Amino acid sequence: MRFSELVKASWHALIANPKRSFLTTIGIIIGIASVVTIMSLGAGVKKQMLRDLDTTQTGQQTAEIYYNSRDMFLNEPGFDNRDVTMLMDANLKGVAKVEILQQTKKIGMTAIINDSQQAMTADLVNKPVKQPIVAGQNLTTYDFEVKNPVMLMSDKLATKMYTTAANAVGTSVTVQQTTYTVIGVYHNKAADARLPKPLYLNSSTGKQGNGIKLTFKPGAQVSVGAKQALHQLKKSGSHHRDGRYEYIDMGKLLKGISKSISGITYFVAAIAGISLFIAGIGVMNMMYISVSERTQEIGVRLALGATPKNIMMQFLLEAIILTVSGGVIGLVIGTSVAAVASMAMPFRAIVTPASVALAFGVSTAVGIVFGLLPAKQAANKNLIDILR
Amino acid sequence: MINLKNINKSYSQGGNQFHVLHDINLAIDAGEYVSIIGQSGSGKSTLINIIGFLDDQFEGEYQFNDTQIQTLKRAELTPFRNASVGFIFQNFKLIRTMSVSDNIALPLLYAGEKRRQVQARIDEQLTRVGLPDVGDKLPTALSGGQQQRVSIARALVANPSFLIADEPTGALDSRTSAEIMQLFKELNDQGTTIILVTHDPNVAAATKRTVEILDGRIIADSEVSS
Repeated sequence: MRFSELVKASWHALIANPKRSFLTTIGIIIGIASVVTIMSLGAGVKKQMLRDLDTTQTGQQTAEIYYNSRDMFLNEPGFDNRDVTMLMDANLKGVAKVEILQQTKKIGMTAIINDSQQAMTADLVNKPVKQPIVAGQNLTTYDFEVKNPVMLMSDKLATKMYTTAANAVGTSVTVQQTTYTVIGVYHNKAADARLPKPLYLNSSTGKQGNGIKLTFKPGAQVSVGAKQALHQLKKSGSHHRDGRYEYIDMGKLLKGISKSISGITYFVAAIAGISLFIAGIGVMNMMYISVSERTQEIGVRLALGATPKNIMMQFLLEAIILTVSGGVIGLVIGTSVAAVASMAMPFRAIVTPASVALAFGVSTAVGIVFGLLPAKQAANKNLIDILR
Repeated sequence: MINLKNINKSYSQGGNQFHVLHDINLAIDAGEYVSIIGQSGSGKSTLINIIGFLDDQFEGEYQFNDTQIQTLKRAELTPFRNASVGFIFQNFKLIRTMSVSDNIALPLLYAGEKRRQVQARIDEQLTRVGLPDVGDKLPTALSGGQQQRVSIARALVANPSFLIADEPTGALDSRTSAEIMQLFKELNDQGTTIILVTHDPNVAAATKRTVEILDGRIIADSEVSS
């Protein structure tokens, strides 16, 4: 008999009893799903470590230190050029370069408006943005080209400082020694002002930010240098009295996760192993029942020209189809569980070819190992006894 | 075609030796319609198991056309049986989870043919047994008589040298039995060799030759006078 016909015959026998077939695969599904989930998470954390840990895309190792202001209302950035100079002079171990991570979107700053010092937030824009203007006029492309020190003020800030929006037009605002003329008032709730980005960043004291990036020499130990830098900043950073510096050691964090995941891996592997073993026993049990229920069918097939090998293959294929279907369903479930779990983790789970191969390999192996004895029993039935 | 010489068969059960067949000599030619009649326990089932290549554990000579069956290995017997014999059983022995067509296809599929090449022959046999439109149904949707017709179609499909029908009417009522016997007669008229096993003298009387077995010995072998 052709192999395709044997597969068809096996498939037919399985769907003739769908409930029983499905129940038998549940153990396989759980086993494979848990193995695939944990392998995907493991692969995800590994990839994240390699990529993010301390290596940038150019192969440089970097670390970042962030500043948190203690005063919620003082919006001044935590780092400026003094910090860069100080860190470079400190001769930190392995550090090749220090630069400020400039904030590029919405930033907090201290400004002089209407002769009084005010904390305000500002959007930095590269080109004119269309929006409703309450008074005055919008920024123009020309303003950006010639670097006109002009800005928009929000209606909220304008009414607070000058009672009406129209009053604010033509006034000036000083931010870090640059004086901007308010040419318009616009409606916005998110930020107090809109400044041209090129002008703001190029202003003499513009190099400011709440983050600092350390670039290391190849082969340097990132955490050692980063901790030295942190120590320096805490002692004599430009804003060390007003806030706190924080170094997030991604390497340490991911190493910790990786360690606990490999711990979980062994645990889950043990559970999956037991689950697969019990599932295999279930498959074997069902196959034995099937063989004894279908004694007549086996007899008919033998009488009509089936060889014992045909019969054995048919029953073995039934077991394999059963377990491989379980493996495929388990793979799908495992992938989805890993995807859902990655939402709560600082990395993305990856389904590797290895886990797909494992799902197929293990489920096929379970089918063969636990299907062989029942299939042999089916093949060795005595034809004359059956047909009597 | 079938030539049995001095066939003896014995088996042991519970330490006792049973001698079931004693010096059976029997010759059946192609085109014959033979009934083997005997009480249960007479050895007639054992005899047809040997004739139908199901049992190769016997003493004596079995010459089938030019082949000495007792010299064949068990593995060689299977394709031989597949090509030479069509079996019809008392309780039909159709596989319930498979459609009528799939049941009939089995002997051809085991002979290594492709599924799509055999459909025409299946339909041909179904028409021959008077059930042209049941191919897609499950056997359980058919009456007993219809199921027996399907099993006859299955026995015929591989175009075997002869049919063995073991109590083919045993599970059927008298009217259906008569229909099945009529079908056998038509098949024989078309040239099919049929060996029919029964304990019922009325059924045997419908064949052309009766071989009577008692306690493992042939006690009578006669033409049926029509």
